[in-house]
Order: sequence, then C-alpha cells, then structure tokens
Amino acid sequence: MMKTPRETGACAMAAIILTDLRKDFLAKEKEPGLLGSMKAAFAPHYRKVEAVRGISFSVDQGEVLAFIGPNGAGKSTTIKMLTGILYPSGGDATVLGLRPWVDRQRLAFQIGSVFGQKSQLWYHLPAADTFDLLARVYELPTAEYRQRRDRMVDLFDIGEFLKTPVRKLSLGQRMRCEIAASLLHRPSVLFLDEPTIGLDVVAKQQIRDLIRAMNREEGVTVFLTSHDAGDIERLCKRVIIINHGQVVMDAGVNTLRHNYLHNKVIDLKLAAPVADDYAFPLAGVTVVKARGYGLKLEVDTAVAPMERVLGLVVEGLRVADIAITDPPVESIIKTIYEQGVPAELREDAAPEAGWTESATGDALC
Amino acid sequence: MEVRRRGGLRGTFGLISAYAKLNLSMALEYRVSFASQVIGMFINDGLWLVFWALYFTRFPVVKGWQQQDIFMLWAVLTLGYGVMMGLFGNASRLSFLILQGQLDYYLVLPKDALIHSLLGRMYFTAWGDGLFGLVVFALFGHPTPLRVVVYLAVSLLGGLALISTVIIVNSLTFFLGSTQVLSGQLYNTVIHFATYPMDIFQGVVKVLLYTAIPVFFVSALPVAVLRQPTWPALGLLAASSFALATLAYAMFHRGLRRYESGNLVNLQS
Amino acid sequence: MLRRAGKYTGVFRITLMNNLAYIQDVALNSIFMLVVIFVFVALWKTTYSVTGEQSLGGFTLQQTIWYLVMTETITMSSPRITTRIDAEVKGGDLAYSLNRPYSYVGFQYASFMGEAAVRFFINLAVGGLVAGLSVGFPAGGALEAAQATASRVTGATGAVGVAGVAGTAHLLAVVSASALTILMAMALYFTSMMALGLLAFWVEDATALFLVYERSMWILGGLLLPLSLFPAAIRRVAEVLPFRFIINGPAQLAVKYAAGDFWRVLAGQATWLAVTVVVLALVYRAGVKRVNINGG
Repeated sequence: MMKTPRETGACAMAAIILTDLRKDFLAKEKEPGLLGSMKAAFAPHYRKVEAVRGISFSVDQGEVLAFIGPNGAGKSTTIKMLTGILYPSGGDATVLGLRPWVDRQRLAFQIGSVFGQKSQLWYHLPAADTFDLLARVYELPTAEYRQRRDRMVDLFDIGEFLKTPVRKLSLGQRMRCEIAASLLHRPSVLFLDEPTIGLDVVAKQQIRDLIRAMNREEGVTVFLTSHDAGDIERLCKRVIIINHGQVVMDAGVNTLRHNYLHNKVIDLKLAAPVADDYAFPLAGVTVVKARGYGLKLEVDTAVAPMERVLGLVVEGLRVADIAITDPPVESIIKTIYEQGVPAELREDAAPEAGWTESATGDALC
Repeated sequence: MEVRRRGGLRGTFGLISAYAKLNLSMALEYRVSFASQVIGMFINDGLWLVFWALYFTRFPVVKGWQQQDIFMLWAVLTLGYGVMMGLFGNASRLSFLILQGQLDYYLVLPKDALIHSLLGRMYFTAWGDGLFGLVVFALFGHPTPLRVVVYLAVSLLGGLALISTVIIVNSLTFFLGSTQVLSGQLYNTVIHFATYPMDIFQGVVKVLLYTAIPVFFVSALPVAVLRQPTWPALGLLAASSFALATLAYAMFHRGLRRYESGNLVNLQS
Repeated sequence: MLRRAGKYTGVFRITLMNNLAYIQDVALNSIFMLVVIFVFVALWKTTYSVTGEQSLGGFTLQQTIWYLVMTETITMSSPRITTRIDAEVKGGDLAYSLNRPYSYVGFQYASFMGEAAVRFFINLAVGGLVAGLSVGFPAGGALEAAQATASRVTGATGAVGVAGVAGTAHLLAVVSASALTILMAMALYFTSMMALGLLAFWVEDATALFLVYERSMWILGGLLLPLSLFPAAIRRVAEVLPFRFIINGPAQLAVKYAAGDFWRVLAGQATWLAVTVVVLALVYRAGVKRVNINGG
C-alpha cells in the first residue's frame, strides 16, 4: 500500500475545526384541528428553534471522536453542516481546510459519510452495482478502483453477499457494505451518523472493530455520532457530549469511564419470584426494580467490583437469564449535571474546547 | 490520493451513462413492470390522439390547426418529455426529496448536487412516451432528413424548457415549505396546457403561457419551428430553453442554502 | 343487519373526516380541475365561434361546458383504487384483513365513497364556478324552460305561481335523477376497478391494463367529447359498452334532462352493475383461494 502524506507525517494538524457554529430552524406551529389548519394556512406562525447554539472544538488528523447526546441534541445537524449538507446560521467550520458548505464538491472527494438511517446503496440492486456507480462518481481509475474494492470486500468480509440485492441483506450486512462504499475513494475523514443504530450486539462489535481497523491502518480521521455508550467505550479515545445544541463535556474516554461510565445495569430474569423489598447484600449496588421474576440492579463498579456482584448474584438468586448493559447516554448526562464539574476534566479536555461557561449555566435550568 | 478529474460535458455524460446502467439493471429486476409501464404510457398517449382524431373529424380546421398539427404537437412534446423525464425522473419528485431530507445523499457526493438528484431515479414510463413520439413522427411527420434533424432538435429543446420548469416549480419547496401538492398541480397544469393549441387562449392567460407557465417554449414554439424552420425561431427557442435551465439551476442552488435536511420533522415532536 | 351495515357507515365517516382534515390538499388538488375546465372553455368557445353554429351535436356552448364539468367531476372525484388494491394484494394487507369481522370489498367501497364524496363537491364547486363565470349558470336556463312549458300548459295569464311550482319540480327531478345515476356510476366504476386491481393476485404488474381500461373509459365514455359528436361507427361501439353509463349518461342527464333518458340510463347501469358485481365476486373468491394456497 502506498502511504499518503497524512499516514507518514506527524499527525498534529487539525482535520476539523468548529468555531462558534450555529444553526437555527424555523418551525411552523399550528393549533390542533381543522380551524388550526386553516389559520396556519393563511397566517403561519413560526418559532425559532436553535438546534446548534455555538459549538467550538477541533479534531486532529487520525483521531477517532465520538459525538454523543440524546435525540434532538443537535448531533445530526452538526454532522450535516460538516459534510456540506446544511448551511450554518452563524459561526464557522473547516474540514481539511475547506469550508464544507462553500467547497462542498471539492471536499466531497476527500470525505466519506454514512448516515445510519439513510442508505446510499440502491435498494433493489446488489451493493456491487452501487460500488461501480461510486467509482464513476468519484472518478476512480478502473484498475485502482478494482484493487481498492477487493481490499474493502476482503476487510469487511462482504464478498459472500456482494451480488445479492441490498433489500435481502440483514441490517448488519448492509451497514458493512455502506461503510465499505464510503471508503472506496480513500477519504481522509469519515463521518458516521449512528453507524450502529438498530444492530444486534455481535453486529455492533463487528462494525466497531472495522472502524478501528480502518483508523489504525489508514489513519482515517473518524467522526461518529451515537447515543450508544458502548460505541464510545470501545471505539474512541475522545468524547464530546452535547445536549440542547451545546457542548456539555469534552473529555478523554478514560476520564469519562472513570467518572461516569462506572455504572452498569444488570437485568435479571429469575427462576423464582423475588420479594418486592429485596435489598442487595453489597454497598454500591442499588435495586432499581424488583417485581415477580424480574430484578434490575444498578452497579457502581468503583465501589462494588463486577466480579463480586456477579458472585453474590449467582450465590443468592436462581438466575434464568442475565444481561449487563451500559446506562443510556441520557443518564450519563444527568449524572454530569448532578455531579458538577470535576477539576481533572478541565486538564483532560482539548485546550480550545472543554467546559464552556454557558454549557453548565443554561443547560441546567 | 491522486484523483483524475473529468469535469465538463464528458464527465456529465459519463455520469449519466453510469446512472443509466444502474437504472436499467433495476428495470430488468422488475422487467414485467417495466414493460407494462412502457406499453401503458404508449397506449395512454395514443388514446389522446384518438380524442383529437374524433374532434378533427367533426371540425377539420380550428384557428389554423389541423389534425396534422396536433399530432406533431404530441410527437414533439412526448419525445421531449420522454427523454428528459426518462433520464431526470427525479425532477418531479424534488419537492418530496427536499421535504423528506433525502437530498442528503446527493449533497455529499462530488459534482453537482442537482445533476445527481435528477439522475437518481429514471422514470421508466416516460420511455413509453418518448417511443410514442418517435412513432407518431415516423407515421405522420413526413420525415425527410432535414425534418428529422429539426424534429429531434426542437423536441429536446422543448423538453429542456419543460424539465427546467418542473425543477423551478419543485424548488419552491425550499422557500415555501411543504408545496408538494402545489408543485404537483403546477406540473400537471404546465403539461395540460402544453397539449393544447396555444391559439385557443386569449388575454391574461396567453400572457401567463409566455411567462409564469412557460408553455409557449415547451410546445408551441417547438411545433412552430418544426412547421416552418427558420434560424431566428430556432435561436429563440434555444435561447429561451437555456435561459430557463439557467434559472432552474440558480433557483435550486439558491434554495440549497435553506435546505433543512428533514430536521424540521424531528424538532416538531 | 343494521349493526352490520353500521361498521361500513363508520368506515365511510372516518374516510370522510380524514379527507376533510386534509381539505387544503383536496382543495389544492382541484387546481387541476380549474385548469381543465378553463382549457375546455377556451377550446369550445373557439370551436363554436369558428363553426358559427348555435348547437353542435344537440348541445349549446353552455351545455357542452357544463356537460364537461360533470364528466370531469365524476372521473376526477373517483379515487384511483386499482393501484391501492394492487399494493394491498402484494403487500399482504388483504390477506391480513381476511380474519377481520368485515368484508374486504365492503370496507374498500365505504372508504372509496368517503373519499369520493369530499372530492365530488369540491370539484363540482370549482369546475362549476369556472364554467358559470365564463358561459353562465344553467339553473336559470332550466328554470326558464320549465316556466315556458308551464305557461304553455296553463295558458298565458296568471301562471306565475304554477310556473314556479313546475320549475321547482323540474329542478328537483334533474337533481335527484343526476344524484341517483351518479351514485350508480360510481358503483360501476368501483366494482370494475376493484376487479381489475384484484388481478394483482395473478399478474406481476397490471399498470398497462389499468391504463388501457381507464383511458378507454375516458374516450369511449364521453369524458372529453359528448357521444353525439362521435362519428357514427365509433358511436355505435361506444353505445354497447358500459363506459358511457359511468360518464356520459349521468353527465348528459344533468345538463339535458329527459325522463325517458333517465330510465334508459338507469336500466343500463343496473344491468352492467349486475354483471360487474358477479365478475368482482368471482375474481375475489378465486383470488382469496390463492392466498390460502400460498399460505397468506
């Protein structure tokens, strides 16, 4: 493989820079009912919705960044501005030195993007056909394209169903094809909007491994949005959490894990009913729900090591089924608000971003 | 990575052929459907000519229009429509695509977003219309080499005017919000007016047909040029078609600044 | 019995409400009606002035335009159910409805009429407005004709009151005859289109067939041209086909009412409706059997 400059050079340059980026939408408001419809038709009433309210940060080349937040936090809006789909209402951003909404076509050659909920593959045709089309669209020389395609097919292990119409693929298979398609033209930056949404645990892990492999081997900068805490832990070194269109936290995953991801949720199905007032015999474990055959525990792993908790569970209860999950992003955000700003986070954060005054101020109320 | 750029017309034709290949593969996936739709459109157009044949049997000449003229009107209009909608089928769905945020995919691709958006779906029934136009011209158009050339030229230029109008009408969605029904109705209006001889209209409507609903450039002028080809008339047709195309292009790209990528829907919950 | 009918009126009502809720879209859709009638006015004004005749094929200009308002209202107000049925057969919605406590065909008919009702009145209003403003409203004419008849019957003096009564009676006859034949026409339209849509059980894509049927119905049913203007040979063909009972029959009654015509149209409609209902029942039964064979 030929090395591109970014693979050989020292990777301290910023690939993506956002400066006070903003986006407002006008939402039409309408009263319910026929009368409301008629009123809205003649004198529409608009409400300004601030989807992104001044976001600033930068991403270095070769970095893998997770951009997380609950639904409607402004994740997709931000990623759409960075890929040139939306014009911002204010502020500025550059990707690889280009302003996305101005130099959209030039930038398109250098970035790849996958929107989890919108397929770029032609639904009724095999993925191979879309690959051929993309080769034309990105003006790849035939020999080079074939070589690249074969490598992607190999790496993503999609050879088996490359000739099957996309509509017949499983979601996981389709997502592998989507990501492979977005990498055909060797982009320097890869934007992934909810790449693991709707996938089962195995497929999720496969996708994560592939993204990490591409980042390591080709030095692709990866910018991904997610509301799955698992994506963050297993994929990224750095996390930015946004809520209500503002950056809430910008930190390393280690810090996040140490401070906020130490809670795990254990869902148990039991072979015998549990008492309603059941209490777990260990500090750091709270009973979220106990009813009939179901028991839900929240474990603070900093206080109660998972190993001990599981030992006690197996000893004291008749377990039929067990599932250990991360808490949803919403609850992490809630924890952040509740606990305030730990001092060590500021040092950990990227120098130009991190905690912003307004983030704590506005969002709390 | 070193990228070989092929811009301009050659690149665009390459792109059209690549999209055509995919669309054709898709049509072949559903070949019965494809054939059925093409044949269906062919018959649909044919029955309109039956109406006109019935009409002209009773009233042979109306305002200088004879059966021959209306047949040529249909030959020109259906070929122009067939070629343009056959290739750029998404034109009439743009309003829907804008509203649903489905332009996203085309926007992240290199090259012009309008071209990608238009090529994304080729409208197969239109192939039946195009075929119909050719057949009508072959049967009733007294084809001579010169007339064939003029016929093809005016049909394509009229088709360009039509598709540009369709793009303009659909791009209203960028500025006015949900105009899907309105855009669809305006589209039908243009096509409906275009299938009648313009000489039966008078007054304000005639003015509209030269301007807001530019039917004059879509069908009347092309047919006039076919009837009596002169350089100035052909020049006027070409100039107006390209002017409309430029306007359509500008309006679409102006509108993109206001594109909301379907976010509106999410926020309303 | 009454309770069984109740669920279909329920379906009718909810489709009606649903279409009223989207009344803006329905109203916008009638822009096309406006355009179509407008173009017809232009075409026929020109035609009448070029020929210099007062009456063409037994129709005055005003009657021709109002005839076209009626034909267009009937066709444009009938929901295009073939594609919907086609999709429901292929998508399996029909199969799922089989174990529900209602008849699939009855359900579809109720929802068809709910949609058609809203569209009918809007289209008639829009088309009628364009026609009335350009060639005058026919009600006045009908009333005058009735008064003339009445005064001939009662003698020249003091007949105003009687004429008023006779005029009202005539108007009532026209309206009720039109309403009845239009309802019959829509039932005919529904049964034949439904049967065509159900062909989806056997045919991969019947678009061509739908289009041929619909366009034949338009041309030979007299959508664009009264049958009386057809050349004799084609007219004879059109008169034996069912299409004219869907379009030409009710429309002509509305603008040129004659009691004899009314009974002829109604008899024709009833005969053809019997035929289409039988065909529909046979097609539906055969189709449903295929669902069972395929395992739903």
